[in-house]
Amino acid sequence: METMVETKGLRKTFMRKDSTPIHAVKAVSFSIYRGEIFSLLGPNGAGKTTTISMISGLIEPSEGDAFIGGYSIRQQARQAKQLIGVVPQEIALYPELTARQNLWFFGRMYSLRGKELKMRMDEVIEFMDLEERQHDRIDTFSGGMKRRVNIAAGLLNRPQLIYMDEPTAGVDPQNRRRILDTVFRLRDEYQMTVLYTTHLMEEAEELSDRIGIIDHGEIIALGTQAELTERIGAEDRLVIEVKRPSDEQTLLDALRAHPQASKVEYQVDHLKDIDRRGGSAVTPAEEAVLTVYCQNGRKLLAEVLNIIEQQVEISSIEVRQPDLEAVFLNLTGRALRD
Amino acid sequence: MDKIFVIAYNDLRIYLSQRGNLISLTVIPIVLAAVFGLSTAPRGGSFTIDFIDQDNTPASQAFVDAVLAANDAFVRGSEAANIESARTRVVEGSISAAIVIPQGFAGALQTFEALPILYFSREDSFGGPIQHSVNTVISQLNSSIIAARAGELVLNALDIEAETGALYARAQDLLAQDLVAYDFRLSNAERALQPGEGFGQSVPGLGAMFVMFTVLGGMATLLRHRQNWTLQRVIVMPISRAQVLGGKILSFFILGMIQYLILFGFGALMGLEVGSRIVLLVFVMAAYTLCITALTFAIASSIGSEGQAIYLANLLSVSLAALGGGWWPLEVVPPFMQTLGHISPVAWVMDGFNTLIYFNGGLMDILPYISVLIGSSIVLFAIGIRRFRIGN
Ligand SMILES: Nc1ncnc2c1ncn2[C@@H]1O[C@H](COP(=O)(O)OP(=O)(O)OP(=O)(O)O)[C@@H](O)[C@H]1O
Ligand SMILES: [Mg+2]
Repeated sequence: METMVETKGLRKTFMRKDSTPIHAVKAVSFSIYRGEIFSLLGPNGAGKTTTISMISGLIEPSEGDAFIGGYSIRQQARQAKQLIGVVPQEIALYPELTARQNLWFFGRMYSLRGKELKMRMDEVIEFMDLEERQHDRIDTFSGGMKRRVNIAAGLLNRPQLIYMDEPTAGVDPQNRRRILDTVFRLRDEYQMTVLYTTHLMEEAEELSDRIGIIDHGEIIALGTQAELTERIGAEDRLVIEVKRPSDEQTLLDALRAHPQASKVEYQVDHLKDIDRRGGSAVTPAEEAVLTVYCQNGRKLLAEVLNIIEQQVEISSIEVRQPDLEAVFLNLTGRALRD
Repeated sequence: MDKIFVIAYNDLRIYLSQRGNLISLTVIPIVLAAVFGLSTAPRGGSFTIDFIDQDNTPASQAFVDAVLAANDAFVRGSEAANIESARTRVVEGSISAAIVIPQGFAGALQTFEALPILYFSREDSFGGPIQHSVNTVISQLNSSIIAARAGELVLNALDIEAETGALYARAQDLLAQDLVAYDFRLSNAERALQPGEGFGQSVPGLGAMFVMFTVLGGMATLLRHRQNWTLQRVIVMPISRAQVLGGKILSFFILGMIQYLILFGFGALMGLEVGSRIVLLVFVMAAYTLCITALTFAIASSIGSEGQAIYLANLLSVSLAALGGGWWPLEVVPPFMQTLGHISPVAWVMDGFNTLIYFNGGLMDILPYISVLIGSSIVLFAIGIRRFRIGN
């Protein structure tokens, strides 16, 4: 596989006013292959934006270097920058100008002009579905529309590689869907390499060919989703919502006795109860959630049903495969959303 | 190069797309210039000079007359009792200058001895119209003396009896005819009485202030473009930091010049005569606008928020304009305030404008002021461009 981006020991240390250091990124090394969607997944403040800023030539690394299509971002910035399109986390647009005026300006910064520029503008406007509002000022746009123009501006130079820094932040579900589909189209129709950052596990899972999990400025795990979950040896989970049985202990004992169930959790759903009664739990909760951990959830499903069917009324049942949330929890001891 | 112009164009487009900006660029400056222009007394009227003639001979009186004749605007003050009181009157500002002609002046002329003429004035170290005129008269005198002396030596060598006094008088006559009219002159008396004359102070003065409002206000724009990440977005494109900053500098500079042209255009409508000096006038404006642009960058590099930027821009514009003679001519303030005022770039640009508008100065006369402005620009740019952060 051809390498599109290679970072070597990238480090960024900011200085606070009182001269104490902030280690935003600590010696990060990874490669992104041509034509893949690579996600950096990490919580707020993990160092995603700082990493992107270094490999796009915006900020100087304290140490290390990055190579874009073989060009050093420090030594051959201009050549490297020609290959990159950047969609910043902020909506980096002039609110006083129209969508088209913004695109015109950024296109000129890529040395595009005349017919060529007009063609590229039309192209990205169509791609991001902005035709109707292209002559309106950005400050009249909704958050989702702004995000789309923000992406369009990063595509003007038909980059081989595009950085998208949390491009769905503050966007409604419909626009989010659209943006995620766009990311796939960039890879599949335009053969672009995509570096995508997010703090949302679902996005990383859905989009990525490979994922780097970043926390406190370090890549703590990297690989495909299957590789990552396999590595931590995470198990499937059977999640069963039930009406609370009269004899809880017998039920749990029966489940725990099963040889393939490595762990069984039982949680009375007080929250749901409070919710339903409008804020005060005056009567005991009526619902509970059973979680059974095991190696192969699908296979165990029938047997578990068999055991509990007679004793409780089942509201829902679901087999969950190990996810990145579990990986993150396993590696850091914290939930991703914290 | 091309990208620098595109950046400047884009910034100007954004600036002009906001109605509030258009109003602060046109309506407010024009209204203020009108109010000030119509209410300030016309100036360029007169310079009062005290002469203390301790010699009191026809020769010394001729010297006094020569100085007074050098400029229409010179007026002889009431005779001061002694040197000390004359000096006090100068320091207080009740007269513009005092000149002491020591006893023995006429005799010294006859015998070709060196004799100091005392001169007090409130002009700065570059000299003003009075000093220039006195120098002119003295150099004329010196030339006459040398001519007479040379003539006498020749006649003596030829063994011809000649009277030195007559020789001297003849030399002076001849020189007076050839004397090139000194170009550092006050405006004619009749021009000072024209109604548009008040705009000679208000247009350049308020112009200097509003150029500061507009250009220093650019600090806020710079910060905003860093806050909304458009500046960062540009810097990750294939363009150098120098080009980006060059574009920003150019846009501020153009905006400042537009501000000046609006005010001077208005001044011209109101009868302010700039005459043939328009090129020099633009030259002075450009030096000042450059200096303010550089100041903008120097300050922006150490400012945290847009609010701070706007506050500072307003504070600096008003105080530097007042200090530097943008509101009233510096001649009306005490001498130490005139000196202090020259920490403000406004003082230097006003010196330049006054030299052109009131004293009909030429390029050489405004060069000192322009040099100060351009010199400061270089220093301020060096600070600002090095320290201004885009990414880090
Ligand atoms: N210019 C800066 N000066 C000082 N500290 C900074 C600077 N930029 C980032 N940091 C710090 O570096 C760390 C990493 O920040 P970064 O913006 O890269 O995180 P992130 O993963 O992009 O987070 P988010 O999901 O919130 O965007 C944070 O602790 C942040 O406060
Ligand atoms: Mg970020």
